[in-house]
Amino acid sequence: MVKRFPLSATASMALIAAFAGFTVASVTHAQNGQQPSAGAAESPTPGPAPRRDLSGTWVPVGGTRVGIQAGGVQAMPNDGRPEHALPYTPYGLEVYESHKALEGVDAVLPAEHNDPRNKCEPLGFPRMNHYNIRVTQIFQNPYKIAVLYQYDNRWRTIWVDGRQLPEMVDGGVLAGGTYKASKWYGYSVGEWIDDSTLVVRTVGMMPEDRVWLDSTGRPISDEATVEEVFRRVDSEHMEWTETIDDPKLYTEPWVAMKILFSLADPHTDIIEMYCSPVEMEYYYESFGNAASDVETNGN
Amino acid sequence: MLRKLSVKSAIFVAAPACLLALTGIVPAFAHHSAFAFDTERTLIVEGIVTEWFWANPHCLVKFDVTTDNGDTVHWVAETQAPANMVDAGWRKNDLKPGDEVTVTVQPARNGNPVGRIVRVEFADGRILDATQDRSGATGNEYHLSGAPTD
Repeated sequence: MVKRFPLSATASMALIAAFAGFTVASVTHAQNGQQPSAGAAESPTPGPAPRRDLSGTWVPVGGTRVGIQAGGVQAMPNDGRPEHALPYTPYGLEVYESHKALEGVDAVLPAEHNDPRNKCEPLGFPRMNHYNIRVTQIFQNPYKIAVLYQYDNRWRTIWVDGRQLPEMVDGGVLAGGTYKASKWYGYSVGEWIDDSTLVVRTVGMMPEDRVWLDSTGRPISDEATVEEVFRRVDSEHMEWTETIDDPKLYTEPWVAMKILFSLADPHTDIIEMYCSPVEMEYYYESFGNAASDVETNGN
Repeated sequence: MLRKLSVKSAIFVAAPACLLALTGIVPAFAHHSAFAFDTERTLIVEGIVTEWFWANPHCLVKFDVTTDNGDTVHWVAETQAPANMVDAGWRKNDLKPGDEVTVTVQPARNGNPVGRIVRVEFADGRILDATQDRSGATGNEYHLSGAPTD
């Protein structure tokens, strides 16, 4: 088995320079000389991308901070800047304004939120791509690709067996003529458009009263089609892009994420990040409410 | 019922109380924004640990501070999630009930005895620094312990 190591500082900076559209955080991180893994050996020069292969243990090149996306989806943070304003429909804006988020320019105090995440509800897709996307494992066979997320030990399946993308219908999808109900992680179908690029479309997710798009309260609906592009840049890297097309909430498609990942050592044992309802409740009783001036018996 | 304590009072109950300018190296929190806290200054508070809650979404240290008039104030301060803290060099059993600690926090704006931890100093001089922003770390040097070599 070939042991893979994270990039050296030089290689990291070169790659980040090549992907100038990536986050400022990535660049700052690289310039600080911080490495994905202390003590790792110098990495070899990356080779060509393997043919139709996304498998591996992946980490954001810019570090954990890039994947956390606390301030909103990575490519369009909810920071009040005009260039990051989303093209809401009137209904989309209404749904956004009904969300009381703990992050972003419209954040509320910890005790005032209504983020389903804080009850440990499933994040669903595509929010899973925008909440603590840290160490991510991908396994694949000729029929399907499994994406294993670190947060809450969640996973989803991308079918690559040649099936058609299901047709969206009220309350779910028609897959091969058979009705299937909406799912937290939807129905994903992928197609290799060349030997290094997989395009994945996902439909049939949960409605906007059950899931959010990001931690700043941006909405996503059950009429969304999410397109992801997984592109193997070389033997050590993969670019993961996501575009939201949700006519119920947004007037036009927009890019929510474009993150470069590098392969981690295959021996990497991943830390659990479960959302425990008991722990979450205790956290708010002990801390969140006090920070918000809410009376509690937690202390 | 939550006991209210002003930030000003908290400063006076802390033995080496002082205000420090923060140098802008506070790590990003994933669970909530920072605006409930005064990120422009820090408090140093001495107390006795009553609980170390190592869990998501954020770890908590509970500690009791004795005021000059003998009252006990129950403080709660948070770090980041365990996955972040491991990368910053913290461990699940780093703090134990009874530990004497000096905790530097960014206090809540509302004056309650809660805050975000900048660092914890123990009586033996050991220091846990929450500002070690190693957000690029995957923790491999920790996770790989015991793994076979190829």
